Amino acid sequence: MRVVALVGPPNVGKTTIMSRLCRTSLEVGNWAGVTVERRTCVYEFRGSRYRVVDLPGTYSLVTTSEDQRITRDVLLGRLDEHPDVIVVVADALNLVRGVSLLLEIAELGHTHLVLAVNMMDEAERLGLSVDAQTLERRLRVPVVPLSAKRGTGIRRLKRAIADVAEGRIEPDPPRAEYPRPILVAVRRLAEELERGLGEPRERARGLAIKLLEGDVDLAERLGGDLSERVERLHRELSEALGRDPRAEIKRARDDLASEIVRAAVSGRPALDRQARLDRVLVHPLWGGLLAGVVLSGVFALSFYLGDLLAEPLEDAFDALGDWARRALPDPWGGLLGDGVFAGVGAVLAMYPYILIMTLLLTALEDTGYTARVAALLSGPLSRFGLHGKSVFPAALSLACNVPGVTGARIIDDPRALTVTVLALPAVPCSARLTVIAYLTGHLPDPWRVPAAVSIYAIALLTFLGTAALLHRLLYGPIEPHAGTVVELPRMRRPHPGTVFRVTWLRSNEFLRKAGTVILAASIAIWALTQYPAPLGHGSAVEVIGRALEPVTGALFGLDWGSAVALLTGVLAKETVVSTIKTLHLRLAPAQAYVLALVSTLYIPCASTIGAIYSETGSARLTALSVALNLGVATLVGGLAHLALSVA
Amino acid sequence: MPKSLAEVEEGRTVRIVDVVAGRGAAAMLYNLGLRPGARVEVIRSGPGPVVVRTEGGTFSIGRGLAFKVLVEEEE
Ligand SMILES: Nc1nc2c(ncn2[C@@H]2O[C@H](COP(=O)(O)OP(=O)(O)O)[C@@H](O)[C@H]2O)c(=O)[nH]1
Ligand SMILES: [Mg+2]
Repeated sequence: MRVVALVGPPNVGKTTIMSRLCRTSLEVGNWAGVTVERRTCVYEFRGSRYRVVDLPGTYSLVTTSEDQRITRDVLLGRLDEHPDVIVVVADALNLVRGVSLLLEIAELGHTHLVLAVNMMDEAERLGLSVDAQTLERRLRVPVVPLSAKRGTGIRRLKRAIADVAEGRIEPDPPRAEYPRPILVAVRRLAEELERGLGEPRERARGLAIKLLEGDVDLAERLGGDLSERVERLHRELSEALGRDPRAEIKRARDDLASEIVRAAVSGRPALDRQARLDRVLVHPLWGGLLAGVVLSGVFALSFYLGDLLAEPLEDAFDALGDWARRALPDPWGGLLGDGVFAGVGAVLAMYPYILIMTLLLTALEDTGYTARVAALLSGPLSRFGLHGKSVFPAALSLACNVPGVTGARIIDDPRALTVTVLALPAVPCSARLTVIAYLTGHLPDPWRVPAAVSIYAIALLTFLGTAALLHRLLYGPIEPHAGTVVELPRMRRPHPGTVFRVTWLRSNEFLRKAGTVILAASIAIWALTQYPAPLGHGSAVEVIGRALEPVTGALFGLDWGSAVALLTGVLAKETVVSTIKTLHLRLAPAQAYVLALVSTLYIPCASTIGAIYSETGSARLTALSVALNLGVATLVGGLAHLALSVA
Repeated sequence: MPKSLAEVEEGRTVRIVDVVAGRGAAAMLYNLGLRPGARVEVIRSGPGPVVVRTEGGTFSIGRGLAFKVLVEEEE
């Protein structure tokens, strides 16, 4: 099987191309880092099989973030993946960047290259034309214009890949011309690498360029006293050139790329509308107000529309439960009625809230709006030890914390990355949305939505607060700044196909869980209500609950039933809902609110704890994150209980 | 006379001449094509982040960082 790697900057359509190549559904979105996980698929062409690997988006091979390192390592042959063909994906509207990356990859000794010029539909719409033949002639690499969105050019791409893979075409991309002092330094360093580390000549030259370009991480990884050696060469070069050699190396490639692209592209894209939009969206006042309105809108709409759909579902499950209890002999009637239909049904009935919130957030993300919010918040978030890009994993976490935690890798500041990962569990995921939606339903009418929104607001404050605390604990005082760099992808109308597909991918996990973990837990809890004696006469849940009651009662004003709900919720937060339903608990409004609040904050679910551990690689940090969550939940829950019992 | 990117008027195109930021910040800017020699068009300025457009895309740069990017007006 041949291996094809897709490489390119973020958001140029790599994942979309991949799903076109293989006709399988894959996650696609406007995230700068949606491809952090390794994603592969297989297709067949002219009797050969090809495995496609979607590499994390990268601007260049001198890496500044964790996810980009994967791409660099694959291209340097330092990971187990050795692609037979490398497809560099470029955005037709930012072609120079793609071509420059292609030249950079070629420098490492890769010649089995194809250039895919994506987004041709948008280029045409904005009045830009790309002459593929001229590009091909100058680059001496097969060039395929395509629109992954429309699906045009995909066959041509497969043909070009096959031609290169089978050796019918042998690409021979040009080399950037570096100023003499740089060439000399590259040659000297390359010889040392060849001798010292036994790297093959071509790659030694590529590595030498990367090192002189300032890849500090690479120098450390190659070991020895290389870092110092490079440092020295660097100083010499800076003096000889009178300029920063890192910039000069990039400039040489960019200049060549720019010259080649200018010969092939005609027309200037009409981007005035984009500029006008950005002037408003990134404005601290107007953009900030708008972001507030948009986010409140998403939450309010999720709850209002969710109510409309959830109520009939709840009624339907209640009716099913009643029927089971009446029609079936015991214990089956009880098992189905009080265990399965009540427990799982109560959770499933909350799916509309999750569906609508995920749909709205995914649509926003697909328009490119999330990046504007990240840009806007970049400065303010730095006051809490976070990064502008923390917005992306935080938004992902609203659906599920696990991809949020892994998605944080796009943050190119190691401290902010750690702080983000450890604080993320405070963001209420859809499991907790289930609990919030269900429990706030116990509140009298005008209070339901404000109560739900207040829980989200408290969770947001908790996220910021724990982040700031974590930064102080781990790294000392925070140094606020006015923000970093965030790329702003073009704003566009959301693409319904993409939005629905991604929404489904992000929310179906919930349904799967309802049918497995929640089902099992509901049955187990029901069983505990029957043995050794039926509920009300000393069943196991009561015994457990009564043991916990003194604590939850004193802290939160919650009785034994809610104590059991909290305990089972450690497994999966949705179980809080199924437990309440199976135990037929009656909750006063204040109790319902406190229980919702505590359930939202108290502990990350088992999978999230696992994800935090695998991202940080530290049991100490993971424990710290969990401890902070528990502490904050206890504090906030206790305060809410106090405030509500006084009022 | 070079001035900082944060001081450029909206709508002007300038050329970056130097980045006087720390190593990490400079590497990040270079990576995105915001390096000495690059031409950038300032889309938005004023309070808050500076938004620029280059051959490689559109970027928002925090104001503090924008002050560390020195530029020259094009003739
Ligand atoms: N107009 C247009 N949009 C596209 C095209 N290909 C992908 N997109 C959109 O660009 C965005 C980013 O695509 P994605 O595949 O996630 O990019 P990746 O980050 O490179 O994997 C998504 O919203 C896609 O729907 C295309 O050919 N034309
Ligand atoms: Mg992708």
